Amino acid sequence: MKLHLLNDGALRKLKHSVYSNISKYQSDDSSWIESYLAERNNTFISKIDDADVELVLPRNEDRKEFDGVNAKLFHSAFPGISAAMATDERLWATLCHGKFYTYMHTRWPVSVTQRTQSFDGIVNQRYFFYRGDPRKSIERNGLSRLWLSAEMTYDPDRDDPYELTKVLLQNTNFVFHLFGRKFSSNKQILQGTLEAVLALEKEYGKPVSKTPITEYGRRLNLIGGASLLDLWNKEEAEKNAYDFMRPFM
Amino acid sequence: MRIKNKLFPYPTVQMDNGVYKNAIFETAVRYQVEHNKFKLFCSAHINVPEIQALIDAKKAAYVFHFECARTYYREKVAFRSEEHCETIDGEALDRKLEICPMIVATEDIDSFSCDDLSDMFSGEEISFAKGDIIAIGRQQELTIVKEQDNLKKLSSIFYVDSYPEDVEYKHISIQPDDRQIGILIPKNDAARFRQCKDDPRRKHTLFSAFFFPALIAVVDLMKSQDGEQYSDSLWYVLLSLKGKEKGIGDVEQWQDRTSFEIAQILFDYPVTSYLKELATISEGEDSI
Repeated sequence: MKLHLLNDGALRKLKHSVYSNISKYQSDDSSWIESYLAERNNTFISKIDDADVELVLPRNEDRKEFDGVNAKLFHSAFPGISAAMATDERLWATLCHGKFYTYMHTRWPVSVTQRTQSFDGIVNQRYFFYRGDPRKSIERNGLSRLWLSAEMTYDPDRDDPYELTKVLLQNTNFVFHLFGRKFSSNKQILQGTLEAVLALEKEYGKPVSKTPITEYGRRLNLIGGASLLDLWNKEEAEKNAYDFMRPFM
Repeated sequence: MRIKNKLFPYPTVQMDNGVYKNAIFETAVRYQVEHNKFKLFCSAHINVPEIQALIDAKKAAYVFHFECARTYYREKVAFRSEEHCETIDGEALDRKLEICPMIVATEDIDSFSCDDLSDMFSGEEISFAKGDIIAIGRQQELTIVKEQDNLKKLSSIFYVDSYPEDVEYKHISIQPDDRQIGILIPKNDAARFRQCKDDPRRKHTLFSAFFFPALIAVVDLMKSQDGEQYSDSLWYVLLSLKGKEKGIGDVEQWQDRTSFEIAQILFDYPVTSYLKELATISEGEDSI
C-alpha cells in the first residue's frame, strides 16, 4: 500500500490553523487529526510504500535517548524515500500528524517550551517545515531529521551500517554544528569526522564534547575557503578530524 | 558551491582578476534527461601551457563540483581529458544544481612558474597544496524540472483562497510559499469566485482578473532585491524556466522589461484571449 499524503491545500489549512489548534496538539486525544487525514479530499496517493514500523518512545526526561535507534528504524523502513522526495513538506507533515503522531507527541511535546520558543513555534518547527530554507527545515522537522541523519551517515561497509548515525545523534550539538555547515553534504567528510569521534571515544573511554566539534567545524570552513575539501577521501577526513580533536580529549 | 570574487593565497585563473595576463579557462555543461537520469556533458579547456602540463603530468585535474543544496547532494568529478560525461540520478536532485568547474591540484606542487602570470608574481616560484584551486571556470546553475512534476502547468502554480476569518482586507494579495503562490481574496469575493470558476465561458475573464495581475505582482517580486530568497521555490524555478523557453532569458535579464510585459509573455498574451471571450459573450447577448 502506498502512503497517502496531505495535498497542498490541506497542508496549508492545517499549517494556518496551528495557533488555534494548540490545545489539540497538547491533548492526548488524536481523533481530531485522524479525521482530518481521513477526509478523502485532503490527501493524494504518493509513490512511497507504506511500512509497518513503530518508533521507540522516550521513557524519561532525556527525550533524545532513542534518536539513533529511531533513525535506523525509520530509515530502514522507508527505503523508497529519495533525497528529492525528502524535500517535500507534504511527506513529513503527513507522517508527523499521522502514523507517527504518538511518537511526535512524546518526543516533541507541545507542553514543554524550550527557552523562549512558543508552543506554536514548536509545532511549526517540528511538525512542519518552518523556515523558508528547506535545508534548515529538514534538519528541524521531528521525523525528517531522523531520516536525514541516517541517510547521510549510512555506511553499508560497517557491521552496523547505522553505527555512525548513532554517533551523530548522541549529542544534539553534533547535529547542529555539523549539519549547520555546508561541507556536511559531503558524506566522506561527515562520515570521516564521525569515525574520528568514534575512535577517540573508544580510545579515551569518554564522549567527545561540543567544543572540539565546534572548533573543527570552524577549521574546516577556514580550509575550505582556500582549497577544495571535497578532494579528501574518508580516510583523509578521519585523520584530519582525529588529529585536530585529540588534544581536546 | 559558488565562488564569487574570492581571493586566494596563491594565483588562480579567474575571470578578470588580473592574476594572469591572458589566461582563459573555458568550460561548459549541457545536459539531457533520460529516464530520470541527468546526463551532464562537461567540457573544459585551458590556454595556459604550464597549467595544461600540470594536468598532463597528473598533478592537477579538471574538477567539476556539483551541488544541490536542497537534497544535500554534493559530489565532484575529476578528469583530465577535455570532455567528460557524468550521470546523476534525478532522485538525488531537486529544482537547482550548482556547477562549479575548476582546475585543482591533485597533489602538492612545488616550483610552479608561468610566463603568463602577471608582473606581481615575476620571478616567484609558486607552490600549490593538494586541493588548491588553480583555475575557476564559468559557474552554472541548471534548472531541474522533472517530468513527473504535477505543477508543470503554469496556471497551477497559483491557488486561490480567502483571507482567514479574522482578516477584513478588501484588496487581493499574493502569498508565495515553497511550491505555489496563493492569491488571497476577501471572503465574499471567494464565494463568487467559486461560483464562476467552473464556467468555461468565463475562463479567460477569470484568468485576466485574478491570475494575470497576480503574475505581474509575482514578476515584480522576482525582479526585486527580495526575489533571490524565493529562488529555490518551485514556482520561481518554473517561471524562470518558462522565461527561457519564451526567449526572454534568465530573471536577471528581465530587468530591461516591465513586469507587465513579462507577465504577458509568460502567459501568452492573456488579454487577447480575454477580449475574444468578451466579444463572444457580447455577440451572444446581442442575438437575444
